[in-house]
Amino acid sequence: MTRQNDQSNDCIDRNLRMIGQHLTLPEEPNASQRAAWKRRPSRTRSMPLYKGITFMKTHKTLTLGMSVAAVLAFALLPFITIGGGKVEASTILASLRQATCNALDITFSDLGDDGVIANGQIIVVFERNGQGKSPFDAPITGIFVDASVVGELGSKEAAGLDARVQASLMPGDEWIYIQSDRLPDSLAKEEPVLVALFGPMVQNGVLLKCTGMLRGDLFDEGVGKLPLEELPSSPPVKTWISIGAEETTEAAIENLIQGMLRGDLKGADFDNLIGELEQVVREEQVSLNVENRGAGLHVLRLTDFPKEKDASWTKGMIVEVAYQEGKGVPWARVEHVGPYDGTLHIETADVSTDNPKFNHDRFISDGRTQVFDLDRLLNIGATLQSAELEHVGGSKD
Amino acid sequence: MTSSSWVATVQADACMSVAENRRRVEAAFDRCGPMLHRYVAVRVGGDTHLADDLLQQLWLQINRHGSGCERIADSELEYWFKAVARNLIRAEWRRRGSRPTTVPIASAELAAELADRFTSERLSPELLESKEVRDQLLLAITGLSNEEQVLIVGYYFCHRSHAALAGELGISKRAVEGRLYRARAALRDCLRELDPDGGLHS
Repeated sequence: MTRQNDQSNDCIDRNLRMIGQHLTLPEEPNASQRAAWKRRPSRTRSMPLYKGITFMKTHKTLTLGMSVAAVLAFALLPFITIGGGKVEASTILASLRQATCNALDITFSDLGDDGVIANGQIIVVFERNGQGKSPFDAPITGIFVDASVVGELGSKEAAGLDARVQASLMPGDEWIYIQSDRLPDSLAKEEPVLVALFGPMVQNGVLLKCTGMLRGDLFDEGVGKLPLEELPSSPPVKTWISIGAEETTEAAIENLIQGMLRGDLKGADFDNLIGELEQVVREEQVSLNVENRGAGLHVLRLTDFPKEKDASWTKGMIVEVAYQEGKGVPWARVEHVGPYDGTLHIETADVSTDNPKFNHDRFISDGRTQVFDLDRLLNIGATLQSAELEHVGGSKD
Repeated sequence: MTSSSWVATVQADACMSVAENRRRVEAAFDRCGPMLHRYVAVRVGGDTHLADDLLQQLWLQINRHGSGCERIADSELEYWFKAVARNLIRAEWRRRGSRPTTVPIASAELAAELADRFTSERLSPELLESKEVRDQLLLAITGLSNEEQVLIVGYYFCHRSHAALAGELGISKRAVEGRLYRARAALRDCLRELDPDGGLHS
């Protein structure tokens, strides 16, 4: 190393120290950003759909569509990914629909995240079980979603959004209807031409037919067989089912759930199992009390959920589950959930997919709605992008 | 060994090597992630959301060509990642119809002059306020190799000590000093030979 080299290196060192103070590099990616780079399509998601989603993401005009997907996911989360209690979640789903009912009627308000808030209803219809057939094997025959979606005022991405989304998912007939009086302001800024072009169309309503895209194990298999761990990851919602139960008490709690759902728990059996549950929730510093409302109706009420930083979804949350001796669980309710203090109410119902809500004709008949076959459009998009990626997927050069 | 068990053994070995290769590539991607993100973000005009999207596409590309990269040495994987990233940035520019105006503009002449002054005089804060000068520095710094960036960015921009960097890289403090010396020299060379297209030439 020569003296001249040393001098020049010292000089670079001094200059770099100053540059470090004056020059701003792009913000370092955090751990969740880095994890998102490697987020792969799930096993149940078809590659054309995944490509379609990538296509939609790179073409930001479909931000609204992503918001809709988020709303759908959030609305279904409490049912599908309860903490990680795989068996228990499916048990609840299957057993909430008693013999006299074949559907779940879910209403939600102020539910959402990332600046998007939704209010609305979801109906999940199950195939009526045959005699002696296990309820877990009954497939879902239809899901209907009706949500009003608004963007929070301060939200960078969603502010200004005001839309109503209705969707029906039935095997062979899947559609989404979007009507928006106002699109997100950020979209208008980023893509003014497209907003000017498509804004009026969305204002009149757009019907997207997406047959075959949203179908998967949900319709093909019974609820009990759903690969729950494959569904979108949930916010840190912990429920009483998954709260760190020891193996010994786990069985007791499973018995409690099963018994409640069947409706055959009563007297000392019920009290004993509730005692086990109380022990578990006490360890997690969650409060449980059971209110006896007479005529065999008990309401389990869980409060004081953990308030740690990473539990913002459960902070202040109250879960109520009604249990009717001899009948089962007629309703369940979650309050103060999520960043917007949302509420979710679930009850059993008797609805079939013949209900007009599942029929999109009502949107087409007014003659103003634009109809698109999304499946075909995305496949075209995916093909185009695939060709583009094929072109750029270079070798080491 | 029966023919069926031989086939099973060969299949198991093949599966193992595919899995091993995948782990190796993923480890390299994890290691180079921040560097690649910085590289892309600067060349798409600082839009970190777009940079995230492109990094996601990059990961898809890597997986698509995963079986073909077994012959690429560990130390060279980052250059392959960068090559794919360059192609994706170019594709993004094409999609937009033009190069975004916020993307730093490389000037070989200015960069070479800067490289000389960099080693011979103390640069004034006023000079560093100039957009043209900042563009050259951004392109040069983000054009360095992963390890060089870990050292330069870590030491001069994130103000991490030699000891902290030594811990991160699993080397001694003395080795950090030596490598920082070489990284500074590499930065000077990078400025001297800055590509007029900001490292995005075909």
